[in-house]
Order: sequence, then structure tokens, then C-alpha cells
Amino acid sequence: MDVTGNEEGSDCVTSVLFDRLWVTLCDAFGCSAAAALLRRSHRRALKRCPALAGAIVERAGSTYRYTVPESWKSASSDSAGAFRVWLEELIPFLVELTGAVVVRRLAALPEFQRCPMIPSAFTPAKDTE
Amino acid sequence: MTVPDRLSRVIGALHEIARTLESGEGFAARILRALELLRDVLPCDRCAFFEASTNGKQDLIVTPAPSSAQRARLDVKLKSLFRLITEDEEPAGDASAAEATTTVHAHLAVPVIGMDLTIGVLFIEADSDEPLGEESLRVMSLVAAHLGGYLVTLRALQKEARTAAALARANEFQQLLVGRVSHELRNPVTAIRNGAAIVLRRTTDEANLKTLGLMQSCAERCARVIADLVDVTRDRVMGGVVVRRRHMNLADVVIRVVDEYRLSHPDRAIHFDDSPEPLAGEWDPDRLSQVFSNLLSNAVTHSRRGADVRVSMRREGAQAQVSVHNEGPGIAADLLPEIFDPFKQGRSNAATGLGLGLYIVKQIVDATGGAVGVRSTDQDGTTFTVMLPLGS
Repeated sequence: MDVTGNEEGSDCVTSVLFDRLWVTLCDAFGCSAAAALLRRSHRRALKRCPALAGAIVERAGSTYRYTVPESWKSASSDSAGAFRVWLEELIPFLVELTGAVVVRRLAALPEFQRCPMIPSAFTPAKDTE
Repeated sequence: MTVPDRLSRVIGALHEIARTLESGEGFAARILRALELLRDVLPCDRCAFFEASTNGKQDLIVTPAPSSAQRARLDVKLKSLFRLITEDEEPAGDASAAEATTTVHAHLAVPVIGMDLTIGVLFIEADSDEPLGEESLRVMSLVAAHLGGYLVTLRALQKEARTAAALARANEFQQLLVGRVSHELRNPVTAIRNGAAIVLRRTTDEANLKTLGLMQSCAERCARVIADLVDVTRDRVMGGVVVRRRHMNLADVVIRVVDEYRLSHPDRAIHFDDSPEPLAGEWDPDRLSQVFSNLLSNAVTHSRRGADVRVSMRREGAQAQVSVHNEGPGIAADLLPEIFDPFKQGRSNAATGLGLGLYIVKQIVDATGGAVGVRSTDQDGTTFTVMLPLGS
């Protein structure tokens, strides 16, 4: 997949981006399905990027929660790189399920526009319905 | 259609779906109805749900009823989506960004999750070129969440029913087995016991006397175990102890049991203190015989060789009280609270049966409307007390 944006700014905090991703997926699919989708793509991404081991999406009683590595809480190219690998696994999967609907919505978020990690082809958010 | 009208339609459909999925009866028809309701409010031509059960069974429900070719296509598509979610399958090929944004994606798919388990996929599809949007996805997610909860509850109920049925079958088999084996063993053991008793009476040889005595006591022990097993099994099959009441004097039963034990244990001093007044009530004489026989057997077995055993009767208000006392050693304090539980032995080194005797005593006394208790110390010995309601 053609993922553009190696020039994310210093305010690209990976934990913030992940939180936006989580909230968007929960809103679109519900948190249980969002967790299933994130875990499935995480499993695959982990094979390519062991640094993702510290990121966990889990069920806690009747709800879901996520944990990200401490290093994701400040802007760093390492954490952004790991998150990018995760997105590379997640985005084709989201496309397969919903076409461009969810990915476009992610791309339209100000955080992802400032820190472009979503393929540029999705950037113009023009959903119809 | 105005936005409020559309919103009202969607809310109405969601409400109807929730009501449809309230019962588990005819669940496949209910899921189909939910899909129809969903299709009515979304801009799609087909609505489908693919379910994969934990036992490997897979099911596809589609509305409207598809042609066989359409069904086969949807089956392949939804199976592939399900594997994509649950396994590490590669996306089908339209994964490139360029393709995704230029190709019409006239379908939406949402995983259906229940208790953190992926149960299936909810899917809608449109024949038109209009891509399905975010609003449809949100409505689908609500329905998928509801379906997930519904199916996981159904599965739990089905599992519970299967477990209950399996337990009932296992229990029935166990009761039949114990009942049958006990019954088959009872006659041969009785024959051995009687035969040993007859030969014992005719034998004078010291060595043979010892061997025959041992045979007789072992056969008696076997007979007691079998009698207890038959008794407990019968009570369980009947759903509890059956008590056949008739008016009777308590002393008649107690004296008969005491006499039997005096005869069978001539080396033991078994004292009997009768009540100064007659004690009569509506009781089952056979069952009470069993109670006092078990208590006397317990007293004789668990007291020192040669120690006295005392049975006493008296009136205690509106109840008859029968006590069976033996001298020490006492029952361990930590065992006392559970001494009437099945398979419990007061002292492990004096185990002579299955530990069902006192359990049977309590079952019978409870069924008679009475109560049984125990006091026990090394110093004072052990006293079992049975309280029975007197007749008017």
C-alpha cells in the first residue's frame, strides 16, 4: 500500500493518533468489533514489528480498553514507525469490509491530516449517502 | 424523505429488531426478520448474516431469498470475510488505495462479536453504483452488537441445556449402576454370611473359628455397605426418603433394635433406659428401626472394645428423645459439623463402611419431621440424640 507522509511534525504523538483511531473504530463498528479488528491486524503487524508487543487491546470485564507503550506518549519516529506498520495491516482490512468509508473518515481527522499516515488516496473525504 | 422522517424510520426499525430478538424460539426466522427490517431502512438490495458456530457449523441467512448462484457467491464472499476477521487471511485483492477509491464498493461488512468471540459477519450489498456510507455502517453496527448479544445468550442457554441433559443422563446411569450392582451382590453376600454362621456354630477348631469369625464379620460389613447403597439409591430415585407413617409406640422399635444388637454383639454391654411414660407418634417403624440400628452400629463400631453403650428414651416437651451414647474416643471437632454428610467417617482409622449410615439417619429423621444432633468429646464420649414429634 502506498502510504505517504514521512514528514510528520513534532506534534505527532502516536498515543494521540492511536486514541483517535480507537474512538473512530468504536464509533463505526462498536468497541467489541473494533477490538477484534485491531487485534487481528496487530497479530499480523507484530510479525514485522516486534516493538508493537507493548500495544494491547483487551476486554476488561464488560468493556474494552487499550494500552500503548510509554514511548508512544511523546513524539518519536520509532513509535510512529511501529504505528505505521500496524496501520499498513489494518487499512486493507478496513477497505475490504467497508470500502473507503472508515478509512476516509480517519484521513479526515485533523490529527491524521497533521501527521499523514493514511494513504493519500483516501484524504479527500467525500462520502455520499 | 426528510431527515427527521428518515431518523424516525431507522429508530422504528431498530426498536422492532430489538423486539424480534427478545426470544430464542425460532431464532433463524427471527434473525431473518431482523435482516428484513434492516434492509428496509438501508439503501441496499441484499442483507445477509453469516454465522459460524463453535462446533464448526456454518449458516448463511439472506434476504430477499437469493437465487442459488447469488447464494453461492454470497457464501464464498462472507466465508472469506469471516476468515479475514478471525484468521490471518490476506485481504482479497482490492487492498490497494487506488483500487479502493476508484472501484465501487457497494457493500459493507461488520463483524458480529459476542463475549469477545467473533460469531459471524453482518453484510449488506447494493446493486447501484452509489457507495454505501457511514450512516449505514453505524446502523449496521448497532444491529450487529444486538445480534452478537442475542446469539451469545442463545449459545449459553443451549450449552446449559446440553450440560443439564448430560448430567441427568450420567446421574441416572450412576443410580441404575449402583442399584443394580448392589442388588446383585446382596444375595451372594447374605449366603456367605449365613453359611459362615452355620459352619461357625459346628466348628471347634481354634484356627478355623478365627478364620470363620473373620469371614462372618467381613460379610456383615459387606451386607451393611450394600444395604446403605441400596437405600440411598432408592431414595434418590424416589426423589427423597419415603416415610410410611402409622401410629406406633417408640419403645417397641427401640427395644427390638437393642435386643438384636445384644444378640449379635454378646461381648458388649448395651444398656437401655426406657421412658417413664409411653411415647407414641405417627412414624414409620421400618425407617426408625434403620435409624436406631445405624446409630447402634456406629456406637458399637466406634467405641473401645468392651466399652458400654447406652440407649435412653424420654419425653422432652412435645417430642420424644432417643439418645445413643458410647464412651470415647470422641469424634474430631473439625469433623462434627459434617458428620451427617455422605461419605464422611468420624475416624478414618475405624472406617467400616462407605460413610452413608449417619447420612441415612439424618435423611430419615428429617423426612419424619424430627431432628438429629451429636455431642462428642474424648472425655465424655459420643452421644447422638434423635428428636421426634409426638402424636397428639
